[in-house]
Amino acid sequence: MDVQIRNRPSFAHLMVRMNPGDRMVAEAGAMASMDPSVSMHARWNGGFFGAIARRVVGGESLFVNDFIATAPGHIVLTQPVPGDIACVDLQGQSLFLQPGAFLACEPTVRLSVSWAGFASWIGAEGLFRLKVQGVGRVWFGAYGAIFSREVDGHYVVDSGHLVAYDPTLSLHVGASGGIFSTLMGGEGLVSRMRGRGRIYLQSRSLTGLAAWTNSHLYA
Amino acid sequence: MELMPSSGGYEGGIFSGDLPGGRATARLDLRTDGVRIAIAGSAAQERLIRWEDVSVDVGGASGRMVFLRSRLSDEVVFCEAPGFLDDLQRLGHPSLMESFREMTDLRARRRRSTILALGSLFLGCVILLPALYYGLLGAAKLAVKSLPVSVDRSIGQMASQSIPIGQGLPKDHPAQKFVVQVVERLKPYAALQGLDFQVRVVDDPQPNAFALPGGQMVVYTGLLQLARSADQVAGVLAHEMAHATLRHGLMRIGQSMGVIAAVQLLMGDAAGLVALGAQLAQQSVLTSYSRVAEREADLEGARMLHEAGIDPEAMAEFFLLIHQERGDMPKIPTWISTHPGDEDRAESIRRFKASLPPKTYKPMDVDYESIRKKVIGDSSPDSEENSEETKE
Repeated sequence: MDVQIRNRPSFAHLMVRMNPGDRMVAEAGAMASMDPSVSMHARWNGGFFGAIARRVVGGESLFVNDFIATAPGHIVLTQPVPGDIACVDLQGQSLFLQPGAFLACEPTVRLSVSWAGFASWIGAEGLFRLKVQGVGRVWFGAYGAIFSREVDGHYVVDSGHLVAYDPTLSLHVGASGGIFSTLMGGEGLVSRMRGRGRIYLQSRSLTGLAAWTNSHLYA
Repeated sequence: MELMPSSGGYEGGIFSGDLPGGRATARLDLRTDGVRIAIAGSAAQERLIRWEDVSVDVGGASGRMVFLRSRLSDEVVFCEAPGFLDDLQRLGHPSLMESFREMTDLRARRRRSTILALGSLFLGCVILLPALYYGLLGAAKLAVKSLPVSVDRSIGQMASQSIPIGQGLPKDHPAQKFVVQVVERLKPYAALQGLDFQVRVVDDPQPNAFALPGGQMVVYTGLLQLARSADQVAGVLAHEMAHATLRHGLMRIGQSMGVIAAVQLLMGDAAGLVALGAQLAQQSVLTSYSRVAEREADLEGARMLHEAGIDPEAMAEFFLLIHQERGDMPKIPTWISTHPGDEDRAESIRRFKASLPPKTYKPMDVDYESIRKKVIGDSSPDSEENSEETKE
């Protein structure tokens, strides 16, 4: 199976060339086009209760689609927001994805929802987060460009810009500065990442877009 | 792949500056002398970090990731597999035990600070939220006071168009002429100038009257039938005019909006709530005012009556009359909608009157009985029956 990320970074999509027997798991609604030689099966995203949990609290879809190639063919997978797509090749380790970031993975990768804590929720990073683990590639999308950064010690991320992070990092939500700076500086709450590991960030935030749009609705 | 203990150890990983990318997944084996790290992949190799050189801590995104940090190099071994920490503790190496003691202390401190944080959050909610609420009400009051009177007028106009008020009596009807005469007499003494006082008599058997922001007022024929003197009607109108001059309608809207603004502030974004606020504004002009507002309007109304040379006692009398009337007809909504304390209100008007300098009052110069008869005569048979009952 050959997977390419095309039209990066603004309107990235996945071009997946499949050989007979290849399988791919993708977020419901991600398929934009495909060859008829590829069959698609919707299934509960990690079992019935797991799927409900992921939908209600993880912001993920109730279903995922299994794509199975019976003959050579291709599928095109996209995400709803304009932005880049990144790939991580898991070698047994795990990765946390922020709600809505997951796009696709190889069938050997396992998806699960884990509790992120109230601090994460208050920081607008969601009450739960998606954990991907196993061996295989996982693709996730973002609004805007994706860039990664190696954290060693302490790093500050504005809420809404975090896309994915290593499980070796701990996430604390806190004020961006003093009381005045937090209220007036426009940064509000920020996530403080502590420890060692890699984080993936998006260059735009959807809450930022929503706030910008709202401010123009009644103008 | 679940990180499970097996005969070979645990799945985990290692950070080290000399590895490609600075990290690798690894299989971890807990031995009596130290942790053996079997690094997989392209940089396959084995390493050993001795227990003497290791410090242990727990953290990471889940709070359950165990880190073994070398004291001699930048190597950090991590593992989240269940049982890994228990096995470490079971080894019982003296240098590890020190780390575990520190961790236990840290955990106890964290628990204490969590309890403290939750406690103060709870206290904060209990103390701060009411403070915020009343602060906003105060702010709304100040904001309303700074608004131009034209805002009152336009809100009143908007409200009067959206409220089904009912059929008004003709302009030349004696009752209509009478209420206009009352308002004309009181108007010069209004605390807020620039309002456009207008009053209409509407044919409705309920003994009721109300004012919209900006000075539009409505008196139901039911109230005129109930009143025993022209001065009592003047008392009612003075009270209603006071609602307008004290801008109680706007205060209510301001307060509702203030709460919405607070919610908006807390939730971050609430465009839908703004629309709700607009709807609330329309409704609030119809619903009754708070008891505090009613008492304010009583005393301001009494002041206006006094200045205009009408005895405020008539207003107190009307309260008592309503009180008596309500005893007979408990289900009919009346002018005083804030139920308990009609007598108290009459009493406080009397006290207020006593505090004013004595004055010779000049009653309204109208033949109220004939106006009242005219109103009863014009009303539907149904309301006539009501008035008959009232007379008994």
